Amino acid sequence: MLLTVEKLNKAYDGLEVLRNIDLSVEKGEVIVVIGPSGCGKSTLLRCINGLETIRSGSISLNGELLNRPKTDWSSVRQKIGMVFQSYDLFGHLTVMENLLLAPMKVRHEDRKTARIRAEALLERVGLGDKSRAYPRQLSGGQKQRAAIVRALMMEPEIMLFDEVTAALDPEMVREVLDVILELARDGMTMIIVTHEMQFAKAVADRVVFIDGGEIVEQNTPELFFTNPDTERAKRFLNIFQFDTPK
Amino acid sequence: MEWGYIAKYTPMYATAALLTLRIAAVGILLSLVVGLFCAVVRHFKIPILNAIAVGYIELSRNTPLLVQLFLLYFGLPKIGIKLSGEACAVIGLTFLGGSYMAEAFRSGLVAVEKIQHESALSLGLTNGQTMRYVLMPQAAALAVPALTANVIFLIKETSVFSAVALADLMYVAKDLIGLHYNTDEALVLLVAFYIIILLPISLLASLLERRMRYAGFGGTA
Amino acid sequence: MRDLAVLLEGRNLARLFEGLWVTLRLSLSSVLLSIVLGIIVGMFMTLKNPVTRAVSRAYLEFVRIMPQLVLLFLAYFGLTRVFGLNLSGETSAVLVFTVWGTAEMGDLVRGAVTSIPRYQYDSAYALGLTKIQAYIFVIIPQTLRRLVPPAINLTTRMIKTTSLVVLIGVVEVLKVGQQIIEANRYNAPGAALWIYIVIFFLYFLICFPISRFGQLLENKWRD
Repeated sequence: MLLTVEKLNKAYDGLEVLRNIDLSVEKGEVIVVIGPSGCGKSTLLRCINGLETIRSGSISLNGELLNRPKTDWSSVRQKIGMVFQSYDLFGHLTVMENLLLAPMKVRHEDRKTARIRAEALLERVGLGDKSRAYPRQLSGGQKQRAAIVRALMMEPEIMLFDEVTAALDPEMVREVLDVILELARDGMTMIIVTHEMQFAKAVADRVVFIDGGEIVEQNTPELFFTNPDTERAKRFLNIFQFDTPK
Repeated sequence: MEWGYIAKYTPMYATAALLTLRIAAVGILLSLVVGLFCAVVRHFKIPILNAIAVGYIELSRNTPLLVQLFLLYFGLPKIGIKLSGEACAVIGLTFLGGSYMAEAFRSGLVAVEKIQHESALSLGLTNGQTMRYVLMPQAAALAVPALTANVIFLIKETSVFSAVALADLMYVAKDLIGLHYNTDEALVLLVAFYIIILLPISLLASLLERRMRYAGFGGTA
Repeated sequence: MRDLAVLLEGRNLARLFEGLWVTLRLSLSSVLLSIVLGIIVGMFMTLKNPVTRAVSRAYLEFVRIMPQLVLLFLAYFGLTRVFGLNLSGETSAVLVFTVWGTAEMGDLVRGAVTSIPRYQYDSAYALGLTKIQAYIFVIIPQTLRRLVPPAINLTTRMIKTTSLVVLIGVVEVLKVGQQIIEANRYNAPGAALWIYIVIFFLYFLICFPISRFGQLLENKWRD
């Protein structure tokens, strides 16, 4: 197992947001987490990355327990890449400087080698000509592709995507999802929180449905989207169906 | 008004203006250092230091510079701390300016999206690196209008330095009015010199503010 | 402690408070005048006429660029010369602080009025409110919310700035402090430290609650 979450509980000011979460992710697996707004799916990603402290339970990466008092989060986070909903490129740096900051300051990589890797990755996501642009000169879709590359620069073992297309204009969603699909083909381990059901169906090895702070169902995408085991999942999926008016 | 007097007194004012500018420059630089330190301490809520910073900022912002100077210049010698007028001026200006600069940096930091902090952390940057490479550069840029307003405010505040026997512009003016009764010339030169000092800075400030508002990083305006 | 006890002798403490009252009287009169005149001047500043714009702009910039102490000197020494007016220190102070405060207040009013977005008027009219109703129920309440916190801030600035009047000979709290120090030069040579500390904290005790109140309102009304 690459990542194991056991009996995780999380509360904000006494309000439970995650209850008894058990989740394990194998190397190369793509997990898509879906559920209604405010169900706790984003919080789960933030707990895995140490941006939130948990109340009880355990999170381990490669068998190493993460939620200890003395966790070196800086080194853990290098192995866990994360991309957020929006606004997360550093506004005062060009795309290239955004990509080089962490490799140079955290991994002490020299500029030249980091630059070569950065250029190759930018080329791959179709941003080869944007390395000198500032974030505000990019479209939403371009920003999110650059943010994905920035996370990849640290050569993470697992990537977390937190509703990365939720703030985008509809016509830009595709270009970002295509990048993630390609990562999946290359065998990247990923946990993806999304509302894009078609995309979830296409990319997921396993769908995790969270509602009310707990995992209600884990299933293959084929079964989950056609014939889910639980009543709550059925109700949730119905929201996305429109009956044709008679 | 006699132009002869104007010509005669101008060099005195020029010397005084240089003194004002020198002390203002030192005081403003130190204010920036104190302000930056307090802003970082308050942002990370570092225990003890945070409480001290809050107390200092409130004391400094809610008392007049003139009273601060009187305390330094006339009060402290009674317990054996004798400071020159210049030292008092620099310390007083820094004590006052530090809190204003701290608030400017802090409002800049608050304006930087929280996600910037989190995404820096998620790349493995430490809190210190995040502050240095990600938050501070953006906060400082956002704080430029407030910082330049503070610079103008602090230069204006230097006009009370004559109260601690510094031969600044006010001091020279008062001298000419009191001793020589050349009130017209003294006042005209006083106003002229403050305009010479402050107008360019004020113009620069509004230029910077417009640039920051419409352009920022990677803008075209 | 002997030095601090000087304050408790005779009418010393009472005199200090009388001096403080002079400071407060001057600053509060100036604030009140500034608010009234500032609202009028602020309305004037929102006019689109290029002449009124230029005039109000020049007024604002000049008052803002000059240190308040320079303005005090101009009023106290200069007006005497130019118009033959012989103003007392206190009158000069109220005059100068009102001229300054009116400029600041006017700019605040102008900023508050112009910052109300167009659609606020439009949606008020769209709901069928008359122009007067729109102002009473929609525009003015929002303007006030933007105006009151900085106006309170202006009050503390005014109180702090009033300390300058000692330099044109007005007998206020600092001057009284100096007089007490002078009178006790031999029996309490260290009094200066204590008296200035007391004055420092008197200013703090007055300004701190006011700025706190302003901050609270600002946080509460932030949109």
